[in-house]
Amino acid sequence: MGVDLRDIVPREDIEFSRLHGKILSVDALNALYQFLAIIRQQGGEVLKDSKGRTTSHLSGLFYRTVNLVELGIRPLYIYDGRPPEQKLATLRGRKKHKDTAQQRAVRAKVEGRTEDYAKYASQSLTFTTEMLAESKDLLALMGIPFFDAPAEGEAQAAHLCATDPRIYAVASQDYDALLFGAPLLARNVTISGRRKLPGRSVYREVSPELLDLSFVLGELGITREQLVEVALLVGTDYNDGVKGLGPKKALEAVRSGTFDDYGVDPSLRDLFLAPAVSDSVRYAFSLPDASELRRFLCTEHDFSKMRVERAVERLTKGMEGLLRQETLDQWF
Amino acid sequence: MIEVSVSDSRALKAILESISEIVDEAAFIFEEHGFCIEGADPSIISKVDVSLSDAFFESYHVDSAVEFGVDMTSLDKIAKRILPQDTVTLISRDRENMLEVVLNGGIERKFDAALIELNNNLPKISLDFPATMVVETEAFRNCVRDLAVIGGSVVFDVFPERIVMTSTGELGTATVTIQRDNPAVLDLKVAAPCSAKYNLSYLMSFLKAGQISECITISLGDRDFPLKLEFSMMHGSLVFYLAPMEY
Repeated sequence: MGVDLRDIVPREDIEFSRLHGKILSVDALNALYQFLAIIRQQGGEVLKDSKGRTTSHLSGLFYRTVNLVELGIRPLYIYDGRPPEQKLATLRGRKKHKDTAQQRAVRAKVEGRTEDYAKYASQSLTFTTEMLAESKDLLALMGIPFFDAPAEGEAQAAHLCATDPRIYAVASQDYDALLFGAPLLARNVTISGRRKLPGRSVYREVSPELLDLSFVLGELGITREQLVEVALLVGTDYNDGVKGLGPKKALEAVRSGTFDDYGVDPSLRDLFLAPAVSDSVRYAFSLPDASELRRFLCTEHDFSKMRVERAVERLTKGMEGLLRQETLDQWF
Repeated sequence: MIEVSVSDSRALKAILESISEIVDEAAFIFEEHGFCIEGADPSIISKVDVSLSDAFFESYHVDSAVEFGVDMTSLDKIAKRILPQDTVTLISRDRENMLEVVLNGGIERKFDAALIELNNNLPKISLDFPATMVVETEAFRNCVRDLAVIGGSVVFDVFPERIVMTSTGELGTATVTIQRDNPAVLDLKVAAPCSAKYNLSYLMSFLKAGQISECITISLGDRDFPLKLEFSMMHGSLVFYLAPMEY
């Protein structure tokens, strides 16, 4: 979810080649939700293995990560920990929404309304503990590191990007990473080149884009604190925002110094400016465990043997090229 | 104006030759009581710090501290011409964009090396290394040569009671284990066991300076941590830093 700042933040369309050789800290849940929503069989059902377990997220995580590594990009996946108290209300709201969508999906399926089924089914997505654990098992076999954040994954990803010189940018679809202080945010990295528009069977091409926090702030003529205020007025994961106030009006309000007039709890700012993050993140990339990877995907989860075989080869080759010499400048 | 000279030129020759193995351009820093050379390879995978006190030289005259850039590729060619009996004198006159190198072992040869513009100053590296070992240079150099038979990189596994070095390549694996009580080990301090991987070809280059001291101090850390290799002499030191390789 996250805050919608699309209308006001400048961005730069880039080619994937711009990210070659870079390490990105990826908001894992953000990516996994995209996979679960996008990767569907005909008729809108999620992919499942023969034991009935959902595999859409594994399929997306596997093939997309292979593509990234082949492009010379190394993802470090950051998982959510315990959400801050203020997010619980939002999460309860989402849960309720999902339950309703789930009921509607069931009805649509019974009544044979495929389009509606797909719509409601994608709205009712949830991740079980098992699904998350499986995604981590998969990453471990692929030689791709992941880290469990103490709280918000996106905040941890942003903190890493700001403090670890090896991390080039945060990869997420949400703009929240900017609020959390990520110097660079890369969008459209973990999704495929084609994206379905919500509610319609229409696809549009998506290419990666880069958002530079200091450039964004310079263009808007505000500080990061003020950008957080804009977000709080629009509405974030932690608050509902002010009714009738979109990003443009909120920006005007913050610029004219009237943030305090809207009655938004100013203490919410610290959730973005000083979130709970860990400073002891260690990670390393390694070659994939090819035979275990084949077993996990093909034997355990019924993936296509031929497709997996080719992807494992691409992953191994890509990673071999990337496991390399570091430089000293990070210790200067 | 600076004018410094050293009659036992073997150490200086070894230092200049070994650093030009990895550094294209170096900063020569003459201070009142000592001379430093700093440089890094173009990719900043390794860095070198040479520090020689004025006592290293027979005569040491530095009017005022001065720093300039030297093209190590050309200086290396001059260094190769230093013969064991030569006295080496380095001279730099104010406002002359030149380093004069005078070699004299009976017949005086004078070389003028053009100075170069240095792009940026290299910051110092100061790190607390969790593991430090002092080993005999020759023994360590042989170990590194053994490992290089098999692979291009070495994994150090350092424990309080032993050092294990492993190199893996197409042919197989080479493992060198040095026990703490081996006479070649003069000291081994390990705060926590460390495992880290480094490029062997850089280590081999560093060790070309081996003749300047009988033992070397190697410091490293766990995983993503640089390696420090130090040669100590009576009146100075030669220190190399090497960035790790990812596992």
